Amino acid sequence: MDFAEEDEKDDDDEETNVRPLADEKYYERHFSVILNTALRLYRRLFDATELALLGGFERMGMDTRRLLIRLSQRQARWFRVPQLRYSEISSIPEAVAELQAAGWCIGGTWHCFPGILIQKINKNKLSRGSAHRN
Amino acid sequence: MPLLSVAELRQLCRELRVTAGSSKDATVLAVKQHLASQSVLVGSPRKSTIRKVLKLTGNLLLYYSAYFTTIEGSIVGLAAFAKQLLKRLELLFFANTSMEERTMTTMVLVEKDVLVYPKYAIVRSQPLFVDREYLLSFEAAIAAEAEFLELCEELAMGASESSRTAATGRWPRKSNRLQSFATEDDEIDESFSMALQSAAAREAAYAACKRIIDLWHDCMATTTASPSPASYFLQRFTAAWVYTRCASMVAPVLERLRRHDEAVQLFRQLLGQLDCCRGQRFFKRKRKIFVFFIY
Repeated sequence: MDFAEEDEKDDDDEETNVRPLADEKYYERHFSVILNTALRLYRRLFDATELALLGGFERMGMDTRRLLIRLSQRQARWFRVPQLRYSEISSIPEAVAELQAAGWCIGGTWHCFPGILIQKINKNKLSRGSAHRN
Repeated sequence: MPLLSVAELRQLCRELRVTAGSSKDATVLAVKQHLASQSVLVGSPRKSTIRKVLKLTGNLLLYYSAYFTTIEGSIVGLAAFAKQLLKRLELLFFANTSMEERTMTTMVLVEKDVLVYPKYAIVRSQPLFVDREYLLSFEAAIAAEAEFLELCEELAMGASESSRTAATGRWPRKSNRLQSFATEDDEIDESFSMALQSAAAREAAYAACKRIIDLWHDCMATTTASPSPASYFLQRFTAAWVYTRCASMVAPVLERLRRHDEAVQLFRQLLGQLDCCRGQRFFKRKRKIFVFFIY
């Protein structure tokens, strides 16, 4: 058996040892554990505004909670609502509206946020860009 | 985008893997359609698409102008306050100083048996943070550390991109000498050393180093009056520990900046304290002796 075959066999073994997740909504369960544990042990570390926001989480719709967790796991800052697709979330625009109303998210059309453009184009990045061009 | 020449547009198409149109207008349209199909509105400038365009056009404004004209519909993002709150939840739950293990991915890996921790009983004899003030100062320290590392990364990234076209070969000789002595603890890599060839980068790096050292001094001055001496493990969750860790990273940067006196002085100060990061003492002592005698 050469090394490639041996590696392949190891990979197969590793794959068979990986246990499948109990259900599709695993991230909801995980987030609930994090939220409840943090609040149970460290409630005094949060101020009134934070506690109100966290307390409202359970009262939000299922889709809204799922979308919040999904967005929190992504690195990008801004997302285009029409392009967001999650099979387990039935109505993303409604979930977005609820998140905005609760104060978790901010949004609108890009015309409302000229700051996004200004934030991204600081002197450093522009000068580095010019250097590339020159 | 119409400002780009035909050759530049063709190259842009190749970079983005977009089929060029028969005319310039058709090509511009094809690129715009490609940009419009992306779900993330504005990602990090380190994201590959933006980097590719930036490398080619050299003008971020041009990229964003082109990009924004393609956008329709609403956009959404987590509020900064909410993002910070979610990060705080993860920090408190995982009680871990490693960024990689302080995310929900860890829970997925554990559930899938990919990551297995030994079984142990948790005894919470002391809280992770005495009060909110401690938590906020720790978060501020983490933010300062992230800012410093980001600057190092940005400089290194700029250097690795420019080195392909403009490597001078002046710095590597000295850096090789340092590298040969460096241990795995050394956070500063070759590309970062190359970045320090430019005066602007040296200035930015030195300003960042000074800021970290000042923050460390301020923090250590107030830490001596701490009301609750935490266990050595819990010390990791103090601003003092984070700033000490940052200062340990700053010292090799000062070496690269050829500020050897300041590097030696910083090593002395780091070795002079016994509260934080004791595990790195051997490395610091070795490095101090090396810098002191060579320079």
